[in-house]
Amino acid sequence: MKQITSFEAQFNQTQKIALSIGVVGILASIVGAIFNSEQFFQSYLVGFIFWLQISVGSLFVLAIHYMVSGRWGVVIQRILEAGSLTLPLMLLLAIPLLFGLQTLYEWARPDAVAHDALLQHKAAYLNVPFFVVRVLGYLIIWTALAYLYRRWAQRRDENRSPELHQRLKSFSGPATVVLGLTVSFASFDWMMSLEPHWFSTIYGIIFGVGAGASAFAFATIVLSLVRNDKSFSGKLRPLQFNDLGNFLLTMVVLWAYVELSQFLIIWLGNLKEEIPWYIARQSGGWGGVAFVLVLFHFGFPFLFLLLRSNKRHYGRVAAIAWIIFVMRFVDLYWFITPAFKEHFALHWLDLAVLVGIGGLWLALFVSQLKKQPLLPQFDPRMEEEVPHGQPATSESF
Amino acid sequence: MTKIYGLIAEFDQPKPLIEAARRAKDAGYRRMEAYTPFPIEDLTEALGRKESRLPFIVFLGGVAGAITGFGMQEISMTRLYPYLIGGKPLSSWPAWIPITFELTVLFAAFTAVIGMIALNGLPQPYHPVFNAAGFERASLDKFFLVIEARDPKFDMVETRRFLETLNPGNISDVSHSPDESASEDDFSEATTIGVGKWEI
Repeated sequence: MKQITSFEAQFNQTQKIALSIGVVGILASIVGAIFNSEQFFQSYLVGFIFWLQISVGSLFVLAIHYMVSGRWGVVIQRILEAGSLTLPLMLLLAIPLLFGLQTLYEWARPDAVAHDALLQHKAAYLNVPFFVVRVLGYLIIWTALAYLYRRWAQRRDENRSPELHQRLKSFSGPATVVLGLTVSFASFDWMMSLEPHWFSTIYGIIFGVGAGASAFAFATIVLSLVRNDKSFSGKLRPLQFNDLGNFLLTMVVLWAYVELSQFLIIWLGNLKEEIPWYIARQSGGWGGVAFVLVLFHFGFPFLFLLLRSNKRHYGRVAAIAWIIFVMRFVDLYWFITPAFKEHFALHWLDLAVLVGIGGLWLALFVSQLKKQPLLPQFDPRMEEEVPHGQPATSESF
Repeated sequence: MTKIYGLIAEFDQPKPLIEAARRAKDAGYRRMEAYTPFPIEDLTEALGRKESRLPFIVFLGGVAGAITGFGMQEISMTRLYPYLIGGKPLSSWPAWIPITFELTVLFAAFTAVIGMIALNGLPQPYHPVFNAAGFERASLDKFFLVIEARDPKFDMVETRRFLETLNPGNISDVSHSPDESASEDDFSEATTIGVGKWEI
């Protein structure tokens, strides 16, 4: 029989530990920033983007779930909500980056732009004031959406109101369009403009798919940890992990598909304004990182998740989710860092910033997660959870 | 009487049918089939069905598609019709991937459809179970369990006695051909009522 517990004590403890690790990480990063500000900003960008993509990916998945419904999302809805409610923190953490624009971005250095006709041509878009307005704009829009979703879902649960659910549903169509555009442009601004001569139209989609994969992986990990919570009693079945496993499978295949689309066109075209991006990412040890990505961001999870028996086992789905979660960092590191470094070398600041931001992020996540029952109290989509002609049985794992 | 197809038991509700299937499986019966007006999730497991072989067959179909797609391009581009394009090596395998992917999906999809039809034993224009009186209600409001005569444990007397312990609404024989049809007395009343009820 399943052991049913309340996670209040663990939540409080996790929150404290995460917060202290976060503070230590941030302090270490500040020390690092004093000695090597260039390295600090480079590390900070990767760490910031890594946690940001989970927040915004959660919001994206939440919106899509309201739009298309389905039993798969109800059990992770609270996790996605709490994940997206970390966006105010990301808004705050985006500010230090604005002080490093000249260090990070060639187009922000007036002396570089003065000698570069292409950068002058792009200056109408790539300039500091407009960049600041844009990135803060994305974060404000996302934060507003995250609060709106939490608030309406809460009121729907309190009033047991199908109308409010319908409103959430019709709101999510336009919201997905807004998210699609802002996420694309955010990746252009923060990441693609690091190499301002190079461009790829599918870049935003690659980042968006990666963000969705991160959100699914993170939600799966958290769900596997809190599976014994009392609010899930009898409603969490191996079937739900099967659904999440299928989504992880979809996301890794989609990721491979869009990554290959970009690679194939640039590699076949072999044009001098496009190919340097891949040359930089294949030489100096970066090729090995790419190889790891192909194997563990796609190959292994793909084959492993084909088997239904693996997807019905929460531990195995969670293990694969961990691999994808880690690979998301490797992927972003491989996308961003070769813009600064010819040779692959992990700096201690990369990890310090990652852990620092991560600690604060997780502490806020847990504090949002524990505010409400882990399963929505009123969700019309819950009806789909109960199969025909029988009550929901509690299969043990 | 030896040429009988099996015995059929009728239930009013899905739950007794699942319970009956489970007990029949525990009693050692393997050649069983259930007929219901709508899909019942736990029935597959209650009947003791093993996991379908279809996913594995589809996987093999996909692998065959991948090998075909990749092989066709590799062989034609490097051996049969070598042609230098854009200064790329003859064996430019990244360029083969889209077609390899498409053929993987195509072969897997065909294998899935054809394999599903084959494993279901379709097309099957005739099935003896339709000889059972009142069976048409399997698509309306009744739930049936059939224990087939080819089950090694099947015995006309013993199996009937066993089915009676499951408290079904009715038990009757299922013959192989319509003329040998078992006495319709068991079902005649129910059938008339049933048909009358739905014939508006």
